[in-house]
This record gives sequence, structure tokens and C-alpha cells, in this order.
Amino acid sequence: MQFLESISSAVKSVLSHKMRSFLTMLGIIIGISSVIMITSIGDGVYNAIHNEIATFNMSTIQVFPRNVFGPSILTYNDMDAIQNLPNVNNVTTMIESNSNQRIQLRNPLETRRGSITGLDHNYHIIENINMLYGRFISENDINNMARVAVIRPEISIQVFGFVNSVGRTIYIEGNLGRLALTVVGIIDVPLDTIAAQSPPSMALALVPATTLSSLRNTPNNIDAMMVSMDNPIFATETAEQITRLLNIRHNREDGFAALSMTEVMDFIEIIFVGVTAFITFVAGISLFVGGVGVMNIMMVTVTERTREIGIRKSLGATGVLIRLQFVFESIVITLIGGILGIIFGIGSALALTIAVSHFSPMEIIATVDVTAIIIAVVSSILIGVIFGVYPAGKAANLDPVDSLRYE
Amino acid sequence: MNELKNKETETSNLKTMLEVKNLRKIYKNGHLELEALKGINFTVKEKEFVSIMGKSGSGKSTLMNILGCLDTISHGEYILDGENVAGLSQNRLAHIRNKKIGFIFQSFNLLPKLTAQQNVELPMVYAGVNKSKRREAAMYALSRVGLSDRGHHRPNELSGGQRQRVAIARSLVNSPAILLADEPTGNLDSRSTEDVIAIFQQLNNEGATIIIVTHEPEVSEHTKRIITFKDGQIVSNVNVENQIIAVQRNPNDIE
Ligand SMILES: Nc1ncnc2c1ncn2[C@@H]1O[C@H](COP(=O)(O)OP(=O)(O)O)[C@@H](O)[C@H]1O
Ligand SMILES: [Mg+2]
Repeated sequence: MQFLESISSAVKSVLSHKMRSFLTMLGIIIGISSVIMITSIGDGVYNAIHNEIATFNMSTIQVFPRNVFGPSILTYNDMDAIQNLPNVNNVTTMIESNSNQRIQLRNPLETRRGSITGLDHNYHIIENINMLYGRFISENDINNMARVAVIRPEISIQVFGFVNSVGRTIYIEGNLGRLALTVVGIIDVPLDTIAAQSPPSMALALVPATTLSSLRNTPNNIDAMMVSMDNPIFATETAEQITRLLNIRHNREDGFAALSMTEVMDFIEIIFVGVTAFITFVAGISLFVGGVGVMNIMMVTVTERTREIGIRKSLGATGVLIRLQFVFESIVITLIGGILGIIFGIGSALALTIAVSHFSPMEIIATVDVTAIIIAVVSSILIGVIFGVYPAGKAANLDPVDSLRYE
Repeated sequence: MNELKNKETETSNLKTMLEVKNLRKIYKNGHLELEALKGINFTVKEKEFVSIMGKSGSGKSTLMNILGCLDTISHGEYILDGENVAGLSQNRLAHIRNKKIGFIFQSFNLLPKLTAQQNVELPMVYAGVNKSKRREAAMYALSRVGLSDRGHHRPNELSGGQRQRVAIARSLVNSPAILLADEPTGNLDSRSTEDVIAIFQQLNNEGATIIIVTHEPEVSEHTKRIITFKDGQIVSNVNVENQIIAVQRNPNDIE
């Protein structure tokens, strides 16, 4: 009863100094809103990445030399060797030219800059490429280092003015010389996913890997390979076997990396946990500073209301009740601050992700985490208690006669 | 002779409300010591109406604060309604202030943000009385001081006399054993003073025990006994021969 009375009088008192209460809350509002905003956006980004990765084949391992500068030491023979390892289903490769290649467009004066990507005939099995017209790179193309290309509809339109250009010839000029490539297929480019940002989807043209490596004057070398597994559960073991085999074949200590998608996921998760911990730490500092601000104002409030405290005591208020009254006031400030912070945090997270989604191929939706909200509310109350206890104790211990005399 | 004896037995049958024995109060301020009360002895029985007079600085407020359990005793004994107050815990003292004492201050000491009604309810809040009973009791107390229609006004919307009457209503609501008023008319004009005194007399007639500090003879001549202070000591303690009866104006005439 007296408890309820204390709460309602605390609310009234806080509301009677709106501006001061708001300024006092600011630290709490900023602290709570930044945590809520970052966790909401973070969860949104994490979910988006998770969804993207889920579209990838979880049973693939990416293999590449650790030294990514200079000519690659991986070879087509390495691919054959790995193909024979247990749990390996399929091995494919991807190599890239530099991005200074120019394709001749419809207008004789116009070219478009980009890279050429060399792929294996079985690449589409692992990475799921769909054809609009024609066919993908064949085993024959690989064996014959055929001068053929698979292109995107966009390129076809720029070069020929229509999508289905199967059978036509495109011309690409660059450090590899002037190439005449016969179009054998048009691929269906996935929109709005990370896959749309991957080299095959960005390249001017996809050519047989062997064609590109022979043009680069390193006919036996490839940049990287993708290994698909029979059973992704043994991804770690298979990855280890791959690097061990490659290190033996090339007489290296630790020359190669084999990254499974599960590992990539774990890695991303670790980064997110780290970022979240860091943000929480920063928010903790801001909440501490906010709490000190609340304590400071509560000290001022207690001094200002010394006479009121004296009057209440003369009428029979116990120290406990006076203490409760001021702790409640402190909690009301931090709790209102916390709630405003939650609202503000969610609002800015939504606004930011909507803005970012306009420019990003990934769709990021701010995800409001109920646990984060509960933690925010509880920590607001705790801050109110922690930083309100001392001023409230000061109020509770005031001498009645002295405080009645206070002007 | 017979009549006088009867009167004496009547008085001695009355309960002792308050008893002070060899009471001393020493203020310490660093190395400075000031003895504000130098061994006070007196008794107040129920239904008494006592005034305490004396020059400024003679120790009247010091005594009242001790009697009101707002301040502590340095030496001696203070027995209120049968309970020795010296050495009680802060919580117990708060309880006594709430239940047994109605304190009326010179400067009213109303909470400015609360209405008259809410101010009067406050001691009942601390006594744990429920809301509807509080409302009822506060309205009754306000009617006893002629302020039935002022319950929703805040102190700054009331005159000094009205504020002091709100404070008196507040002092009554928990039916205290004793009313203590420290210069209750010190801030009031003569008309309001008369009203306040009339209310005290009315309450006393209804059985309230009252101690009132004043330095105005016009106030003390309305009481039944006058204790006079000088330099922290009682110099006289006499019954008033002809207690003057104050007349309260009709509440409707009061501003
Ligand atoms: N808190 C205090 N500290 C020190 N001296 C005090 C204090 N309160 C009162 N005094 C002194 O005690 C004496 C009695 O004061 P007080 O009881 O207020 O007198 P009165 O009410 O009769 O005017 C005065 O000399 C005053 O200065
Ligand atoms: Mg005084």
C-alpha cells in the first residue's frame, strides 16, 4: 500500500521536472538504444548472411594456396589427386583473369571492362548454375581448350541487342591478346543474393578453365578449387586430408588452405560474438556514465527536498519509506530512459536497415530480439537501483530537526 | 473545601500523558557546547491545555522538538503515554511521531505540491490507512477546522490562517495522544490567530491534550496553564485563573 503510494509519488515527482528528468535520462537512452540498435541490425545482418550461405552448397570445401600473390602453384593434377580422396564427390576449379579485359560492344566505339572467369565443366553441379539458352561449358571444351564462352543476358544485350546470342562471336581484348569466343550458352543470373556478386556472375564471359590457363601461359595451373563432399559431417577431416595431400605433393609445411562452408559459418559466428561483446562493453560504459548522471541528479534532488523529507519524517515516515521513495524515483528515471532507448534503438535500426537495403544486394531486416529487450529493461531497473541507493540512503538518514530547519 | 477535594481527586485520576524528568539538552558544535535545556521537570495530564512562554532563545523549540520525538535527549527522562522515549530506535520514533504526536509548526510545513486534502492524508498514508478511509477522515478533519470547501486547493492558494488550519487538521487525523504546537500563530495576523486559538480550545474541550509554545500573552491567556522558560530552565508553572474563551468566526466568514 505505502509501496504503491511511493511509486505513484515517484512518478509524479519525475514528471514534474520533465526537462531535467529527460536530460538525466539521456545517458541511459543513448546506452540502451545503441545496444538495441546494434543487436537488432547485427541479428538482421547475421540472418541475411546465414540465409545467403544456406543457398550455398554446405557440402563444399574451398581450396586455395595460402600465398595468394604471385602465380598459383595449384595444378590440374592436384585436382585429379584430390578426386581420389575418400568422401570427395566432385572437384572443380575457378580461375580469373585480371579485370582489365575489354569486350567490344554493339557501338564500335564502345567497350566494357571486366574479367574473364575460367570454369570447369562440372562447376554448375556444385554451384547450381541454370541456363537460359544453350549449354554450359562441356568436358569436350575443357579437353580441347575450346574458344567458347557462356555469358550473361546483360552482356548479350549490350553486345548484340538481344538475349539469345548462342552461336554468335564475342571479341575480348586485354593482356591475353585479342580473343574471339563463340557463345554457347546464356546463364540465368540469380538476383539479389551474394551469388550475384560472385565472379561467375560478374565476369564478362565464362570460358573453359583450360582455355584461360593456357592463355595465361601457365597451362597447368589453377587459382583455386572447390571440392564437394559425399557427407558434409566429415568436412573437417576431409579438409585436413586435402591440405595434407597438397602439402606432401608440393613439399610445403602449410602452403594451402581448405575451408569448408561450415567453418566459414563458425568463423562468421565468432566475429559476431566478438562484435556483440565489444558493443556490450561500450554500452556498459555508457550506461555507467548515465548511471553516474542519475546519481548526481538524485543527490541534487535530495538536497533540494531536504525540507520535504523533514516534513515527511515529522509525520511518521520511516527511513525505509523515504529510501524507497527516492530509489523508486531513480528507477522511474532509468526505466523511462530504458524504454525510450528501446523504442529509439528499434526505430533507428529499422530506418538504417531499410536505407541500407536500397543499396545492398542482401536484404537485411532488423530483427528485434525479445531477450535483448528484457535485458535492456532489467538493466535499466538495476542501474536505477545501483545509482539510486546512495542518494536515497542519504535522504533516509537525514536528521528530522536539521532538515525541517533547512531553507 | 469538599468541592476542592473532589476536584483534586478528579485531576489525579486523569492519565499522565507526558512526563519530563531532569531533562537536559546539550548542543555540541566542535569544541563549543551549549546547554539549551538545563534540567527540566514537568508533567502534563490528559485533557490539559498548557502554554509555554519565554524569550527567544530560551529553549522552547528545543523542548518541543524533543517532546515531538524529532530530537534526542542528552540527559534525563522523557515518558510519553507510558513509554520511555530515550534510546528508542529510529523506526519506533517514526511510529510514535505518526501515531501519538500531532505537531504543528510556526511555518505550517505543508507539502506545496499536494492539495490540502492530500496533505491531511499524509500521516494516514504512513499509518497504512486505506484510500477511502483516508479520504473520509481527511474530509472530517478539514471540516473540524472549517475548511470543508478548501480540500482541493494547494497551500499557495490558501491564506496563512487557512494553511495553519490545514496543518492542524493534519495533526488530528491519526488521533494522537498529544498536540504540540510551536508558535502556531507566529506567522498569523490577529484575526487568524483568534481562529486558530478557538480551534485549539474547541479541540481541548473535546478532550485533546495540547501544549502550545507562544510568546504572545493574548495566546497564553486562552490556555489553562502557563509554563515560563528562561535560559533553558522553568521559572514558573502556574494555572490560569480566568481562561479566556475565544470565539471562532463562522467558517463562512473566514477568508
Ligand atoms: N541545532 C542547534 N545547534 C546549536 N545550538 C542550537 C541549536 N538549536 C538551538 N540552539 C540554541 O539553543 C538555544 C535555544 O534555542 P531554541 O530552543 O530554538 O529557543 P526558542 O525556541 O525558545 O527561541 C539557543 O541559544 C539556540 O541558539
Ligand atoms: Mg523557537
